[in-house]
Amino acid sequence: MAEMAASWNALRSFMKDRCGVQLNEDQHYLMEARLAPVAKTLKYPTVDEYVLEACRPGASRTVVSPLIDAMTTHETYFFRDTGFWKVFTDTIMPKLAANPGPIRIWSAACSTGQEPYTMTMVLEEKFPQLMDRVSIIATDVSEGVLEVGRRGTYSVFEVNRGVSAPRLMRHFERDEGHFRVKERLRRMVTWAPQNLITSPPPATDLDVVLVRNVLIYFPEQPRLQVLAKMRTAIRPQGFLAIGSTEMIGGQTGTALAPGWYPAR
Amino acid sequence: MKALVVDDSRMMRTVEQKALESMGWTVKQAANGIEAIAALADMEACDLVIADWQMPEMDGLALVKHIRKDVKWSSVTIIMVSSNAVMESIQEALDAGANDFVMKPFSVDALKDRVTEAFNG
Repeated sequence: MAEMAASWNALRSFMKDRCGVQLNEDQHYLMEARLAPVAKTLKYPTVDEYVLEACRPGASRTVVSPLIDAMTTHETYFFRDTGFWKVFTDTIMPKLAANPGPIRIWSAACSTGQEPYTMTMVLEEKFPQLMDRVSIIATDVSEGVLEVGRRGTYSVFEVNRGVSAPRLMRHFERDEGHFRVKERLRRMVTWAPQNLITSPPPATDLDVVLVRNVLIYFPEQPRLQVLAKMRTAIRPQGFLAIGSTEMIGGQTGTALAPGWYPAR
Repeated sequence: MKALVVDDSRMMRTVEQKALESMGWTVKQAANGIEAIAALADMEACDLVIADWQMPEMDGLALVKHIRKDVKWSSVTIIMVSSNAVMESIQEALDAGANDFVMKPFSVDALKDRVTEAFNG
């Protein structure tokens, strides 16, 4: 019993300090549900022993990464929130296109890559002339999900969720029973590990930063710190995007449209 | 908004009907292409047809071709569903006049998203 309480407390501190994720008392089941398979794979006799080892300061990456992967993956799908992408297409991109030079976009906490790839599909369909000017940096705290994004291969279930058949034909190719994003779209995205709490932004002078449906999982203090940090990475004329239904408070300012905010 | 769901599986028809009704649609059912054509003849208006590909009597592909030949139904949105998820089949359905193609197995949320996109996207 004592070990169980110790591991749960260690996990809660670890998730809060390292990932900004607040685990509530009633979410104890998540530890067992998500980490038992990991503990078994890594050959720990119990979940508690695994958690105590992984949350220990100086624990090796091979032990820590799977824990972060299992505890942080959140649902994502292609073209999540059509209204949001309509604003991106009709308002945001035309504004950015009006200025010369590169257009740099950061998809933060991108999970398995559906958001950055949705963006590449919109760009190819509506702004083919800008393809060479746009670069997308996709980041996540979990190495496991970044690997999925980098490969760009998705199951029937994953493409069904949001990818229409005309888009599937245009932007994907068959990959052994799955579907892989075509190379010309994959080439537009760079993947990098990034921890919203502890890492600096992956670039500065960004035109758009997307951090959708992530900060709602954060307690208020780190949430405001992350937002402030992101704003410093956006150009004065750039844009910040959060989930359309998110109420994150703080100094987000007045929305241009649900989810979309001016940088300053 | 009115929809017709066409599938020889009663369970699939029920799943699709419930999904559409939760979005505010009025839904009729048909068990194959022949029944679907009869149902359409009885309907004054239909905005959406969701049709399975593999069905007895008249399959979904033949149904799509039949619907598209009738000027009355030229603007109806057709979503084909099938477990035959090869690129060639998907293209064949689109060429025949389907607006979209959902691969089986699919989740109710996936179907609802695709309907939403077809009408608001």
